[in-house]
Amino acid sequence: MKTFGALLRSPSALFGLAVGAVALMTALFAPLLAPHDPLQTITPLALPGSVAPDGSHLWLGADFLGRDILSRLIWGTRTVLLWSSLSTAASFSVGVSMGLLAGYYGGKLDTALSFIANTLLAFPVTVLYIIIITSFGASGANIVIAVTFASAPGVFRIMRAIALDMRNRDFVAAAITQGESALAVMGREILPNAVTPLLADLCLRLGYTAITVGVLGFLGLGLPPPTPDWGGMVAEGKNMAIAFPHLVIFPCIAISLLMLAMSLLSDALQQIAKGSSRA
Amino acid sequence: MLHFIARRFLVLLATMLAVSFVVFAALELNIEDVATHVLGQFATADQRHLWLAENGYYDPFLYRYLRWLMHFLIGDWGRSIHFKEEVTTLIPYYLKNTAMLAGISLAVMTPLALLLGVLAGMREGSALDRMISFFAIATTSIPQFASAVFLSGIFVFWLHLLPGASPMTSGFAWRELVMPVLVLVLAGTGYLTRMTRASMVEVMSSAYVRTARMKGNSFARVVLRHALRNAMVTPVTVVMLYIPWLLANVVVVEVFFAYRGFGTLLYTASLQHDVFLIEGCTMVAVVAVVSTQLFSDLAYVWLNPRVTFDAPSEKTAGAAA
Amino acid sequence: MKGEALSPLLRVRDLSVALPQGADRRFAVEGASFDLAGGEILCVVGESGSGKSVLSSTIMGAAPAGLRVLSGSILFRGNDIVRMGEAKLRRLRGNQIAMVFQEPMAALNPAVKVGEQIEEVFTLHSRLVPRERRQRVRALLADTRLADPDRIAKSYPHQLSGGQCQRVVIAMALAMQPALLIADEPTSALDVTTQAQVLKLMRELRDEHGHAVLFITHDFGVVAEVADRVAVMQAGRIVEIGDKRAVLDAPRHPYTQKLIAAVPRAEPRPSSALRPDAEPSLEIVHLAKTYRVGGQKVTALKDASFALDKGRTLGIVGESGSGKSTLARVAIRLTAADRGSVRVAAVDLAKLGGKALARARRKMQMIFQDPYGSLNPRHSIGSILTRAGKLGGKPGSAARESAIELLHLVGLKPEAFARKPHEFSGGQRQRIGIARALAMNPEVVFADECVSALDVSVQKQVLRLIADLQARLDLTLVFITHDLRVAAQVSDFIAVMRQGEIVEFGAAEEVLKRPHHPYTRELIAAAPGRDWTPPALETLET
Repeated sequence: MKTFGALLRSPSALFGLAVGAVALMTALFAPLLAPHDPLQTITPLALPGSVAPDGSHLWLGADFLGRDILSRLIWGTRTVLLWSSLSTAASFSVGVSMGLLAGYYGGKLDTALSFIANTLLAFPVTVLYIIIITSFGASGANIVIAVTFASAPGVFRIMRAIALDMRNRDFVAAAITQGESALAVMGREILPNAVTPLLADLCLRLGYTAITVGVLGFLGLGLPPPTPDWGGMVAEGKNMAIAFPHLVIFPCIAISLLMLAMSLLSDALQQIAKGSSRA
Repeated sequence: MLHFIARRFLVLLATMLAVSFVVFAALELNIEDVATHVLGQFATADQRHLWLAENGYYDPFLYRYLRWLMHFLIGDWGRSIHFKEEVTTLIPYYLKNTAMLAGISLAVMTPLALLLGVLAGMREGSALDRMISFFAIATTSIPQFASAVFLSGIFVFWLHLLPGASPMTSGFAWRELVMPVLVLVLAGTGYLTRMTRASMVEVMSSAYVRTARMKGNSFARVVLRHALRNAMVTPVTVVMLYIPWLLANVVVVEVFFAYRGFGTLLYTASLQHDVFLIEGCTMVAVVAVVSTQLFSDLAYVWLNPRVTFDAPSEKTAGAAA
Repeated sequence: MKGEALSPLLRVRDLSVALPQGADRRFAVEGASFDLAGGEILCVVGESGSGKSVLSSTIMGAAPAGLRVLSGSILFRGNDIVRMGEAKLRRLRGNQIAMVFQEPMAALNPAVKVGEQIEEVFTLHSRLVPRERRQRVRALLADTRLADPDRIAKSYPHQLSGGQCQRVVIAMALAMQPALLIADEPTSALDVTTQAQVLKLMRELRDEHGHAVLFITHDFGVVAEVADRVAVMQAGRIVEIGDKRAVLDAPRHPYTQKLIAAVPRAEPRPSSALRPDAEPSLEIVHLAKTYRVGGQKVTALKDASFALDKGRTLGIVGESGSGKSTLARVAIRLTAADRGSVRVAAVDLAKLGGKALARARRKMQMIFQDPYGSLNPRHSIGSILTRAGKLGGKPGSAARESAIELLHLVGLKPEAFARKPHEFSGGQRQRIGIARALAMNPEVVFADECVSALDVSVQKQVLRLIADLQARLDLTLVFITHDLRVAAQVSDFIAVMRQGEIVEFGAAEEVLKRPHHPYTRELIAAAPGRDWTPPALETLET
């Protein structure tokens, strides 16, 4: 709660929260907000502001298949948020639990888990995505798997470092001398102190995962075509962007804005984490 | 020191071995898939069966892995299905192009980021600091395919200054390099700037900088003589880690600008399910990553006389202490 | 300029430094006035937050960020530092006024050889050529009694010990033969024997060079050791200033009286009669621990053995790295021992594991050094104490009731129950730490430097509380401290540790009055201010 209060006092965090909230609302209420069916051809390719044959406005124009770009953008928010939050949640469950165990117990368990993490970190991320998607095929679930493999080692390292640090704190020593079980020490003493730094990483990772979903879409390795997806929209419109920049510019703005919001939020959380560790 | 290098080197070898196993398992565990990818979708089941038998794919998996590894070590990386050429002849050509792209990007990015980071970090909270910090966050937030779109919009379609693609079909052209470099620099500078800034802020608030001030040093001299050297340790080691970052990120940029580099090669290989080419590319990329990590660790030890060689290298922990 | 012969070296008049808005008081320093004559050592003494460090950096013309001088003047040789420009200040710093800091290792640039760091002062303030500069550096290092100055000059700070680093910092400060040396807690981070050497050195150098010293400290023992005159600060104000003898032996201001009354006496407390029926409550037998650091074995604890009767206090005394904390951590099994056994009320803990260990170790609790680090910042005090009660075997409601009782027992109000640790002062947190240890109903309590982070007046209250509780609950206490005077106050027995070994063990009175081991003698001799017996002021205490 203290963290949340501090967030509300930072203008950049407020901006981040606001953009995040708008994105979330858009994703939740996409069917109500989108003026058209994102998959339906309603007109030939149209510039922003044109009027569709049925008399409705196409505020952002229509793409090369004549689908309303605004509607695809709105439904795309749902795609991007859904898959990036699922992927991030998976990465965090794996990374946090493994990191806690490695940092708390140390020794051989730590060596083994760290080795696995470092092996995964040895792959350049895009290479890892390409390998996983090529071997398992392009689908939402495989995006989650790929992102978890790529992202969990990073979360693992953060959690492990915090657990290693906390393990030497006197309040943890006190809990141990009182006969607290290992699970309780990890859950009651260590984890609550990792919340703010983890939250900072969560925001950043949520943003990067949104970008990853976009990049995979852009590379044609993401969700299979008619699904409205920001990265996919750029990929589809790329070759005609010279003549019709509106095909690609709006999804690019959308994803940049979302990432900026998450970065600012993460930055503010890091400041708070730093401040409270100083106090 | 020697002990430290030897140990790190052993870890490096173990990592490479683990990686090779993962790669092989991911791509060749399912032999039916391999046969389909090699022979094409229209091959019959009998043809696939024959090919698999001929190439020893019915041997036990572990045996196949070891054989593959031995071949790999002696330089027999197989033939690309799509390009119909030896993998070992394909990779160097494409890698060279990427090395040039990445090298120029690094050469532009590093001094720029270090300068901005030092300027921001020497007076924490100043207007200049806030400006640079925001710039750093904003630029890292734009995904590369988006900044490629934005920058193309400005320099190619609006100002007509540069070509919009970089296939270099009619020989090498400097003008075609500018856009990809620009996109990479824009994406990469922010992070290094923030690292440098953080390091600089920490150093500027240290006791020895205060001592230097109380000796009668001017602010400029304190920054140049006392702060810089210590503040550079972390960013310099981070620069090394940009090589893997670039390897991962050139894919998007190269594909966007149709630049014939390592990223495009890997991308084409993955679209075509060119199994042996993917294996070759991945192993090369991993070698690059792991060896830069080693160099980064060495640089850290070399720049920071306080680090004990046998302590596990935990950069964040070392920098914080 | 005419008046210069008459005016002192440093004249501070009505100096006020404002704190930023939202601080707990308006001024860091309020209306401070004093004079400092050439060649004089003035000790500024006060507790944490008294404004003594702000005063010293303001005199250097470098008030900490966010603080500004509101009024008053600092005349150094007739020139007002408060109104001086940056360029002029730079010519003064390191040249006519120099500074020595608390953390000697941190005060030196880790990437530059210490010789070069001293040389820089000459580069800034003199026209000496490089060869002359290096000669002077060498002479300065020799001056501060550093053996092998050539090797030292070529070393990096991390290659030197804390005491060597502080000598280097002093050499650097004295390079230009400044008229004024400002020393901010220069020995607080050092071990007691090193502290004694550095204090002696600072006095000798003053005698040789005749510079004035403004010496900031919290320790009256140090004051007794080095001061000519003393200024006592409380909440930003100088409440008393005068000759050392006058202030130390006949303090007039009530605050000074309170501080001096709180200074622990080096006298052992009268040992209570031995109870013939007493059973040993804690037995430590051949306990040993070796660490592996960088491929090398470091013996942290070498074959420690002792027994302690119920209700008795053992003081373990030693310098940093002597193994006294390792002994505690190994004894309560936070770290596994290599060898040896620990028996509490005749139960051998080393033989237990799992649930049985978890139950048995509650008999042995610890009070930690750092009152900030030993309480989880995320939990309320009530939840910390209730949890301790539950782990001690009480059901929920009983644990809650006993938590409130414990708060009362350690002198805290029931309102503390719902608060988080950061809302309490250091002394209060230490009380909470004590309450938590007692919640387990322990037989033996280890206190690891549990008062060394506290101001002297708070220290006294906490020591009294511990003694009180010990008598009431018949606790067996192992009290670990670097401070002989504190050990003398609380202990029945004293063990002196050095390099992982107990070099002397005996009744407190014996060890302090008739030490056998040379190291014990050295420690006793090094205790600052041992020639000064604080006056009996008990009656004036609040």
